[in-house]
Amino acid sequence: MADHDRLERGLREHLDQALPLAPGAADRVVAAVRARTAGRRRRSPLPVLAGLATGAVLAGVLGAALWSRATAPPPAVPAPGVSALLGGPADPSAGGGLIVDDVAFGTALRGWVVGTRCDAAGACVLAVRGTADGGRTWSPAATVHADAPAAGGGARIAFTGDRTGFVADHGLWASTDGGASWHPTGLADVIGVAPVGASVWALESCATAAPCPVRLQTSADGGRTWSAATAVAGLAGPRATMVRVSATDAFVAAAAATPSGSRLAATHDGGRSWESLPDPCAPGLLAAPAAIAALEPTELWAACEAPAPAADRAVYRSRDGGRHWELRGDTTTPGGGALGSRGHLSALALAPRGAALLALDGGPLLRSPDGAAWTAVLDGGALRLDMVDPEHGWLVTGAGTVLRTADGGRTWR
Amino acid sequence: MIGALIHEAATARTDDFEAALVTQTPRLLGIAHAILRDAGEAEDAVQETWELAWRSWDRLRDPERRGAWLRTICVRRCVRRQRGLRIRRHAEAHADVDTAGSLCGGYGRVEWELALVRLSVRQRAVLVLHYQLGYTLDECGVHLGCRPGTVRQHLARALAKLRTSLDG
Repeated sequence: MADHDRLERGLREHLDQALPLAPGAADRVVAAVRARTAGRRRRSPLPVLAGLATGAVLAGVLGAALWSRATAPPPAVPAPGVSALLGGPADPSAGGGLIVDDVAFGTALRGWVVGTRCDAAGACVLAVRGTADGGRTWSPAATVHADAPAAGGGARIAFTGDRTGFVADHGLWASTDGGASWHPTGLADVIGVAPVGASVWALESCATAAPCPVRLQTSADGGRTWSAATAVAGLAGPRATMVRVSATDAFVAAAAATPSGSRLAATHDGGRSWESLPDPCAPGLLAAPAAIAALEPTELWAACEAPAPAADRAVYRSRDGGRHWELRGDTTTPGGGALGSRGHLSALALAPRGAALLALDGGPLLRSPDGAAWTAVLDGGALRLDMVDPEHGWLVTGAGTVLRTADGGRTWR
Repeated sequence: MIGALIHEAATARTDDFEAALVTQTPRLLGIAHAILRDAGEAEDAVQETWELAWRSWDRLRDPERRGAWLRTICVRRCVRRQRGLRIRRHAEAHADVDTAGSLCGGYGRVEWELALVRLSVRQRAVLVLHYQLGYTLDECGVHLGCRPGTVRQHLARALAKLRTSLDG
């Protein structure tokens, strides 16, 4: 008993000697919350901080789109909370309180969103809602897991067909009933998933700030069984983006690399071997690729951005699968077609006929027919893009709401 | 007229939230830091707390209860951060500790810190709520969203683990 009392007394004394808070911690939190509640959703700082530490800021998107010049003033992106009030047929967050992280559409009508929903006591779940009518109505939210961080922002969703889908959020969850129910696959540290038919690839890395190897796990049976993880050409995380253009061809861009390696790699044999690709970003001026996009094995695009507070960014194109690069546009492009200086790169999407779309978190959505001259088509920030055909596409705004276009990006709702 | 009323209500909400944000953040940071033993994680947990509070700010009718409500959200966010928590190596655990402090219960501060970081976040939350903030076990259960019996289990296991670590 004496020992127990001594332990309790000592514990009280130790806990009463408060740990010193980091200098400016309260000010930082207050400033971040003000920014968040003033109109933009706060994103997890980990990817940006880790990216800056390694000279790379990384995000990415799979997508294909045909974008034409906007003929009407772009609509404003709803602020958090306002979207729920407005509701609307294309807003899966309405009524359900879902703050959307990612969107995946197989056709113009059939698609899913994944996001975070929290109750007043702070309990948050990661949930999926689906639509079969182009977003006019949405299914009830199906819980993926009940341990979601309130800040959200990291979950990715992908479907192959109408019934088989995957959600990557550190772990990997699967659904075989069109998103109505979800079960864990047993894979951990998954940062991206890309299914093509029954072939499913999951990209793994660590959740810590320190660089660690990027690995690939593959499944040939729709995610029921998985191969042993293999390293991806010396690439290192914690963040990486995979763009898969066929069952055998894919590109991966990572936040870091081994000292002699590149941050870009490609495979053309189903992941059995990887080829390191040269970094396209201008040395000494810009960091490693912040976003990549591809529609076919030979054409790869990359967007690069300098670490904050610099605002330099550029877009590069390769016609030979990433072995050689040409600069298409940057912040110094004359004639009003520059990439601008607001926001941070979040996504790059391509259209089959060459039009490109660049999403900036906290900046405008930019469009270019050839990558050289860019035009702002939407303000307010975009984080994810998914285009299913030349006319229909979806984007996730910085506020965690979803906007839809049915006319090639001319208007959004 | 209706527009003016809406604007007035929105302004009052913002002012109310802003005042709480400025006054409560240091306290919430202290709680989060005590539970997580990691300054960066604590900042993230408190940001998440405010994000959740902002979404539900108007649901709480009694402003007097906002402090307790915020602490509950904060504690639960801390516990839920366990999944993605960057576990510091034990050798780094004493980095934040002022080693010049006196002994606590016969053990040095670094020894206490090394023992605390070996506990689960939920166990640390119980210790902080009960021994540092003075909540009863029933009240701890409310903050953590579990039954008092579960809190007692966490507490007993935490103390046993502490004893093993300190004496081991």
